[in-house]
Amino acid sequence: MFFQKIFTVIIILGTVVAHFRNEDFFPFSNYPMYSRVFETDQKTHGYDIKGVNYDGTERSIFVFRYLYPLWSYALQTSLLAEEDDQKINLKLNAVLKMHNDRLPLGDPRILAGMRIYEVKLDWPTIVDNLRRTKKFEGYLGTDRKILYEAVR
Amino acid sequence: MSSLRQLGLVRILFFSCQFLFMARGPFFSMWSEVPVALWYPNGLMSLIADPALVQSYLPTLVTFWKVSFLFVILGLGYKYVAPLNVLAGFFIVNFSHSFGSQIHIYLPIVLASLPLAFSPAGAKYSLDSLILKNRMATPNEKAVKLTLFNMRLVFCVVYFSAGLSKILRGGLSWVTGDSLRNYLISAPLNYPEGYHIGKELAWNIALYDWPILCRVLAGLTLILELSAPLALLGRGYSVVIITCLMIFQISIYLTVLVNFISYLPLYVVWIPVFYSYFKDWRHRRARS
Repeated sequence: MFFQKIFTVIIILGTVVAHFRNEDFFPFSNYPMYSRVFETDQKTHGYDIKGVNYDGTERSIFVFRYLYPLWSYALQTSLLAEEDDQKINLKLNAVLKMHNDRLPLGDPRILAGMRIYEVKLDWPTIVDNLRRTKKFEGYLGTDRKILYEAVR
Repeated sequence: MSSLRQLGLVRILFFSCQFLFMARGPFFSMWSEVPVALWYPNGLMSLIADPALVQSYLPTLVTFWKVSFLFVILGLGYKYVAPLNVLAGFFIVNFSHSFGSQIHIYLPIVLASLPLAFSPAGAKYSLDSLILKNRMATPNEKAVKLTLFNMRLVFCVVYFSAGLSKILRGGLSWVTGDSLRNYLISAPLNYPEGYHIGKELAWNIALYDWPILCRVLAGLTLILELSAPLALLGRGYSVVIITCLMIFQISIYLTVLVNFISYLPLYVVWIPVFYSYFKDWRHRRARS
């Protein structure tokens, strides 16, 4: 009975504190997903992570296959969890190594580098594209600049 | 159905679902291969000085965790194995949340398992009850009821918090503006990889052409999430609110593409409530 009373207090207090701090601390959260106001006309920005081939061309990284248990969104948040540029570069290099180590030597999918782009999204263009094709075909027609780069 | 029987049933269903939809695959042991450079400790994991050392033991710990599910589901040595199972799960999930990314769907499962582990849930429908028979002490009825209440409280707190965050961060403009409409259409940007039935149906894209309907749905979402604690007030409220939340989750899955299968252990906590409600309803109908 005593334990259960303690748990009741912990569940309520932990949740109140998570809301007060406006951040997660395991296993409590204020469940902020999708709570930000997202207006149609605003220009927003996002991040895109690309692999660099040995001929200099770029390609998308199939995160779920080659970097499991990370997936696209988790990879992005993991890399950009801290604001220190040096740490982010270190993390990107580590992820590039993890990707290549999982492939056999000489495999054409081995990457020469990895880049994190900041993309300024033109929201109406993206919406038009989604409505036309009914699927996401990458950040087409957006301004992009390289923020971080890892080289093998 | 007595509270103790309800708790026994919840034990079997909760741990079975947790094993099937959360623990079974290689996901948690694979965090041993994630570069230490990504280490970004969360909660108690800040106390770990050498995450690489933990990574070397992680697959063993995950194996122990998986095996212990068999014991807690069957109710064998429950009093001793359940706390170990839950503490191992707490550590493993916390560790996987310490690389800069959060998987919110696992947090309430971990939280709800804590009161269950330290309860007499092994007193019914268990091997312990068969082996020990009359030698088991009669559990405190109030403690049993409070265990079930705590697990249901976790469920309600999750949805209520999501609603409260929308109010605190977005305010009413989250409902009156185009937020939900934009979240719907941007769903494929968040989940670019793999097959999803929601992508095939493309209802999120069809809904974009109905801005007023999207605002109505946003309003209903907020009302439903903030009403979640009402489910704790009585069986009638529980049946209505939990059914609506289930439909809501399925709709989210089909439109915003967010998978909720890991939440199923939390939904099973309400099964005894539904069972007793419909049993009484049938009796009342038969009498009249």
